[in-house]
Amino acid sequence: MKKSLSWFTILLFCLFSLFPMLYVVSISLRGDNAFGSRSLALFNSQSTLKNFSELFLHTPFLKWMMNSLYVSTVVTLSGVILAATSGYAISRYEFKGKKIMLMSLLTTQMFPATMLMLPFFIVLSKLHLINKFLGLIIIYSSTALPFCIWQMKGYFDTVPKELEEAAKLDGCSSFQAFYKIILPMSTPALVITGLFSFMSSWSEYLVAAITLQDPELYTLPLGLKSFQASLATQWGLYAAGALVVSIPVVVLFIMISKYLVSGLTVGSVKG
Amino acid sequence: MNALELKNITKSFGFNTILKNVSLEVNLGEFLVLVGPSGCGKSTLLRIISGLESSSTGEVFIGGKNITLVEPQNRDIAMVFQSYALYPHMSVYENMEFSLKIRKLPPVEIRNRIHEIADLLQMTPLLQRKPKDLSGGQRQRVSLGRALARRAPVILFDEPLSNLDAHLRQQMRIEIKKIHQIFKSTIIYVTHDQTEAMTMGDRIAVLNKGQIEQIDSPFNIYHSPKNIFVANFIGTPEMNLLNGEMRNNYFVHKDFDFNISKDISSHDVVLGIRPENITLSENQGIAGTVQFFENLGPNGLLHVHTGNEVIKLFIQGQNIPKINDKVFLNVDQSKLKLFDKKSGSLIQ
Amino acid sequence: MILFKKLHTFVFLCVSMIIFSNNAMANTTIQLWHQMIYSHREVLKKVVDDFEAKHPTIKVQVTYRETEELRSAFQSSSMGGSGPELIYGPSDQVGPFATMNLIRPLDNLIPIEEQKKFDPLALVKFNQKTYMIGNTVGNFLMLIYNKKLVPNPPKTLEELIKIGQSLTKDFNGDGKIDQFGFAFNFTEPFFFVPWIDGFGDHFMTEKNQPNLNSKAMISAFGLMRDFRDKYKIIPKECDYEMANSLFKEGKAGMIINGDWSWGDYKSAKIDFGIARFPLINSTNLWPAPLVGTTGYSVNANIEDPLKLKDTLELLNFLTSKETQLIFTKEVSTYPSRFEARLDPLVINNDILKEASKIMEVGKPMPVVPEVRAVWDSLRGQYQSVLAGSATPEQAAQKAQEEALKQIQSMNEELTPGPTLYLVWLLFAAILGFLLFYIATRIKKFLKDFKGANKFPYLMMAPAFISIFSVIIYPFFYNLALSFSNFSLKTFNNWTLIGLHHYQSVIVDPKFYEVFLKTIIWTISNVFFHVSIGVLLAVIIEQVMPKKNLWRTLLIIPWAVPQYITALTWRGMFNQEYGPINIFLQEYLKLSPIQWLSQPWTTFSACVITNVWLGFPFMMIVALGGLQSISPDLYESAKMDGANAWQRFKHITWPMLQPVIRPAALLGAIWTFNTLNVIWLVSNSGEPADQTHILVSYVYKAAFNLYRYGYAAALSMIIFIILIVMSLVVNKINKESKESNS
Repeated sequence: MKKSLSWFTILLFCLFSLFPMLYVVSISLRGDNAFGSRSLALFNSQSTLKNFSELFLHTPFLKWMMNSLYVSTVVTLSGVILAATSGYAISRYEFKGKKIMLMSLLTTQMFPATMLMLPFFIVLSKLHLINKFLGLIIIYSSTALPFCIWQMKGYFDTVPKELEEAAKLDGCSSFQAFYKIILPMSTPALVITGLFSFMSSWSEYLVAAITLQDPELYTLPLGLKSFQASLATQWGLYAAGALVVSIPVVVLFIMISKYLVSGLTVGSVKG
Repeated sequence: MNALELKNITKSFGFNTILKNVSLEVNLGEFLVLVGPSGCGKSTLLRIISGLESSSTGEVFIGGKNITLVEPQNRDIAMVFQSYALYPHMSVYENMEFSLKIRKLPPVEIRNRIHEIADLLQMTPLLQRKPKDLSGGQRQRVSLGRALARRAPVILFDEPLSNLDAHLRQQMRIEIKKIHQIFKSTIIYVTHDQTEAMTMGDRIAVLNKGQIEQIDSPFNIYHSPKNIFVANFIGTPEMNLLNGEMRNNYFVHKDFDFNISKDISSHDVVLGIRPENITLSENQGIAGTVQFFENLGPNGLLHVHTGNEVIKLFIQGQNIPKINDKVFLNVDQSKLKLFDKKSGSLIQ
Repeated sequence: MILFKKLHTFVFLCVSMIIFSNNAMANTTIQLWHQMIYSHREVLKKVVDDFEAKHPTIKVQVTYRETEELRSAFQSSSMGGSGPELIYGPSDQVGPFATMNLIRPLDNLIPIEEQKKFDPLALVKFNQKTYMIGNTVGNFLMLIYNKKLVPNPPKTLEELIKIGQSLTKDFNGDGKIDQFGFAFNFTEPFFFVPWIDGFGDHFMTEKNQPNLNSKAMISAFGLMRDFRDKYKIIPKECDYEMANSLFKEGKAGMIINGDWSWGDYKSAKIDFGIARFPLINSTNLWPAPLVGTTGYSVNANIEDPLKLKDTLELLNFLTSKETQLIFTKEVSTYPSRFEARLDPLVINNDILKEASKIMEVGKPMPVVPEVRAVWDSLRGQYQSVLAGSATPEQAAQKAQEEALKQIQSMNEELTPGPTLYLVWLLFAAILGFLLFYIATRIKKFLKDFKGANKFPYLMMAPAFISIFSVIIYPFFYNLALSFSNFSLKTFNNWTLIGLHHYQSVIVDPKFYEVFLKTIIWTISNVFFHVSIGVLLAVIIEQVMPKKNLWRTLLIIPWAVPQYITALTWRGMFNQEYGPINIFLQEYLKLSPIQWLSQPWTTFSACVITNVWLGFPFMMIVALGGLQSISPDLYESAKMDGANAWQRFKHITWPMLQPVIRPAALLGAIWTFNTLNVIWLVSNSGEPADQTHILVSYVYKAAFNLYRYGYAAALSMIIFIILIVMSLVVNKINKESKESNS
């Protein structure tokens, strides 16, 4: 009884979590008149891969993908490095201003996005960083950082202090102890933190829309959005694109899901 | 020359003083045990020696050199941690290799050393395993091996055996002691377990409330404790401590009194006598009733109730009195100790 | 030192890589932003390639933006002093842009004789100056019919209804309509206002003031409702996409759509004809579609004369006869140059001939910025009529009132008030506090920095410098804006005025309504996130075999980018074609829910979407927490005779608290601040702006209504609310922790 109820709940929620993506799959396979169909069936005789071939052959989709990949990779690397170093310092050391720093990290999460959009643009254009990946990268990495630092700090809190002490007695400087001992053993947290940075930049739209104006530089969300004109959306293309955008992230997620449980420590933050 | 010297070490956090003016000298190749109840400051002292913590005042010398301000990584001290602190992402071999590599030893030398230690500790088959695949005892061995491979002039042990079960602990005690005899390195060993201290130390320093109460050989610590604390802390079962008063060569207790041929002015004292220095007698001595008998195998511990006090003594053989039997106790006068009640220190 | 050098080289490499990667070979680059639909974009690309071939020194960078985004992006980029040289968009952009001085008058750039060659409708004037040149005239709505289903177009409303009713059919008798007589994006005012003229009035006065409270308006409201409820010839819920795809699939006989859609229908191989809106029988008047133009304007920021010259070169090329004819040929647009209209391509085109007839009854598209307020208030009230929450009379009256109010707040040029001194005082206080704080702490800090804690400071420096430099400036900029009169009229010369915006937020009942909604939104979301997350985590951890499999399947929503999620769910909630309603009807035999046209159902749709998005995070957090609970506890509870529910209540739930609480707080902050879901699922607050939370409300105020100062003040208030909220939560957490221990 209890068992069957559990099975039922889990299966129900699996359906709930999978269905929207299956819906996107079915739209992407429908060809031209993608939207209007009153069938719940995923495939039918008219299913076609036309949208996908169109996507890769006749739109700059691959170019956008490379752009997104470039931006996200740089953001992920810099985000992880900066989050790891500062998360470590906050977790391990007592210093003046630590409390204020922790509070200010949390505070940044409370800024409404609308508050930052316009000033971002003004700063970037003053620095001539409009239409440059660098501008986007700076904004992405700094806005993702607070959460990443918090997350890394949470993980380092769980690492026994004796390890660095042992390392120091073994002859390491503070920095060597950090990067030779603590960093390599923090893979789960690093992977998770990297994933968050990656995801946030892989799917960010608002900031990209104001900073990137050259279609050559479009990231995926921007490109995808361009299939969506105000009065004539290319639904089939859009769905195919959405699928191609989502798949790498989903695959990444599944690959590292074993780290998620052990590496995600936001929850165990000691306040 | 001393291997290590501490001069007037004081450590305080705010108003809380952990160590008060501790001075200590450790000889070259000596096995010194720091023992004391938890919170006595022994681990802090060890950490100050290692450099992981800095003292508020005072100085640390190693081999005659003042290293008070030297960073831990430059002190050339090895340490075995209570939690072993093995690097979880490295194999046993890499764990041992790590510090040698940091110190840029030639690879051949590194390999030789590690294999030598591994053979000695019988852990050659474990070399390629990760710490998570080892048992508690094996991990303890690895952390020992890691410290030994350093060949550091001073090795610190911070309660290394407290996470092991009793049987393993006994084995390791002997092993560590043997290794010490082979390598002759200077060892400072912190423990709260006085048996460990007694069996291992060349000398024992007993710490209490941030101060060294007594530092001496195990024999002297046991047989001539300097004060009530040491007397009580060292030895299982602990020494019998009886509160009383000296009156004209008589020790007067609420339940009994007896003559002590010592010339002591009359005041409040504590009389200490170890259980092995009391014997049963037929009809004279302190009267009491048997309350309990602890069978320890080769001998047993008899609890005798004298009215207000319970006195414990060792007995052997077949003739064990039954509970509630009336018995008389005889005290070996030459072994008893008298402490001043107020100051706690030994009177004679 | 060596490290520094290495770092230096590295930074240099990075920077140069980024700079050179998009360095063009040409001498000038001209940016052109446009909002052309997909098929027109292809033509534009060809034309621009052609231009570049002829002018090898000029590179043209063409950027597509959706209309609304084009507008807000152009605004913000011009504020930053840059922006594209040419912008192509509908004529109603001219008013706001010209008011803000973002675009320049063309009169001294293009000679009068040249201007005379264009249809006056294509020369968009504002305050007697020309600001835009259209390359097509039109952009107007008309009746488009599928010749297969409707051989002859209806001339009158009665005919339209009759044809519509005969075509609206349920072929397979399942109670659902498979073919409609008529379909159009009837919830959008742009598609609605032509009908008003059919009843004898226009929605704006000659003087460009709103004229919404008219008899004609009330009748038109009624007609729209009747189309849906009385004659039942249009789908119950029908946005642009729906209407368009129904028509393209031959499932709707007639549609109201614009000239931009012709190309689309052509390529969908629909044999279609076009006609005027049907004559209204009762008045004998023609409904009047708004005729406008889409065209090019020139950025006011261009300073380099050479660049201006090249820009004009491009402008001339894009509006030349040849270019116009290419567009006519490829996508059937109606050229704006008189000489182009004499070309056989135009003359022999039946559709264009018909189009010019339709335009005869049209009215020019108003370009004043006020029209935005009119659209906005009309949209809200109109949608209330459709939702049945207001009568046509009430709605007409209210729409007029709101429009006037919005125009007033849009146009008000606030002047410094007495509270300005308070602002200066506040700034002084902040500065004073900072100075005091720094003065008292700097010594300790420096000592700490030079002493034992140099290492942690160095480790943190890069991250914190980048966070603060990216966050701090915007924060203070926003703070200053919130005290300023920055709006449409004061775009280039705003000043600080005091606490005005804060006062008007605090006395606005709408603010409290939205605030309440935001709280309901946050609480319901966090409640479902936590309860679903914990439930699933407990089941997975304690009951299910193959934990990894279930965990993997259930975290998928987390991995999908938010905007994709939001748009997908919007599609799923569609009343007619959305799988949710299909499921409700086919499998549960329930009547379909009009998800996206009622305020509370739309709100629920947003909540469902956001719950989908957020529960995996909580599930993972809870799974992590569960693993740290020792199994001994459960065993001892079992021996004590606790059942499953008691074990959960007394062990699992309390033990999860330390993990769940901070995650829930973080989740609450995120949910409070999330824009994507509300904005995209409810299509920016529909129906009638009733689906707003504070953040989307701000977004709308800033970018749709040009009220930047107001929006900034509201942002600050949101920020303060969140700070207070988290302080309170923290305090509660601490107290409960203390009472526990």
